[in-house]
Amino acid sequence: MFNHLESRLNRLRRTSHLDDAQISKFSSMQQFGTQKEFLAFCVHKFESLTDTKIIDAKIVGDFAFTFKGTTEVNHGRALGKKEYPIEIGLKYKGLTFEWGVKVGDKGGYEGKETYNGPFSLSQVPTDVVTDLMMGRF
Amino acid sequence: MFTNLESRLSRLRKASHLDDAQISKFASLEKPGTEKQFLAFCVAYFESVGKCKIAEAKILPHAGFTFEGTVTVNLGRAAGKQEAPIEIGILYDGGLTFEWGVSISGKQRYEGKKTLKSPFDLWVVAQEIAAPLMMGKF
Repeated sequence: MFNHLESRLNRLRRTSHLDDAQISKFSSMQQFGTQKEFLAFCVHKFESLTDTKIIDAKIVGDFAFTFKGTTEVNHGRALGKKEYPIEIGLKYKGLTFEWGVKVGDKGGYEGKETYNGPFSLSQVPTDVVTDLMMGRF
Repeated sequence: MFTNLESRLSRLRKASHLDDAQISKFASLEKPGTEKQFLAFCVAYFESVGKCKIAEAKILPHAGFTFEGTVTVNLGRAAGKQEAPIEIGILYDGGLTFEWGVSISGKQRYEGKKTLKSPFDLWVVAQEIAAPLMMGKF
């Protein structure tokens, strides 16, 4: 098909078809995989994976995001759940993402991960809140 | 907010709010930015901008995409427009470097390569591939 890439493509070839519905869905999107989509996906993931409600989500400059809201921390059967303010900061350079999470006066944590490819970024918000989910802060 | 990143974030801060509709739109997406979504976006882009009709689009394992279909080629006032078969191949290195090649009527017409600054610029790849088709420069 084209000199330099043909042999590599042939070695890798496999089928993975799209249906018309998938194509038309994305034809309505002006751009694909933008920061704003990622921001919205992070809000959705933070809220669905943890007892967190994000009230403010921002794209910061060209390479970062911040999220503010509240999160519920479980203090055990006697004390029950208590709500704390939460702040999440996330920045990236290429495929390396760094984040910091602060939960009121309870503490917080930081993390860093380099992802395998540009199509693996959906894993980022899950990695960001893993310690929060496990109560490790 | 958090020790290491606070000052860097502060320098960069600007507002770019989401509304609830945007969040709920993406709440229905299982994952954003997947290979299959990229494939679908490329098909939509090639068809809307590149005057193509893509009949088949494939994901190559971990490393690339192929598209086959037809493109409308303008052969001048005398001959008019004609449909020709087109093949588009895209490879990436697992990082942010993408290479592509486009053949029309079985002949290699152009190739390209781009290293993206950000993983959120993937749509630029489709744009760069489709640009020569849109301009008829191939």
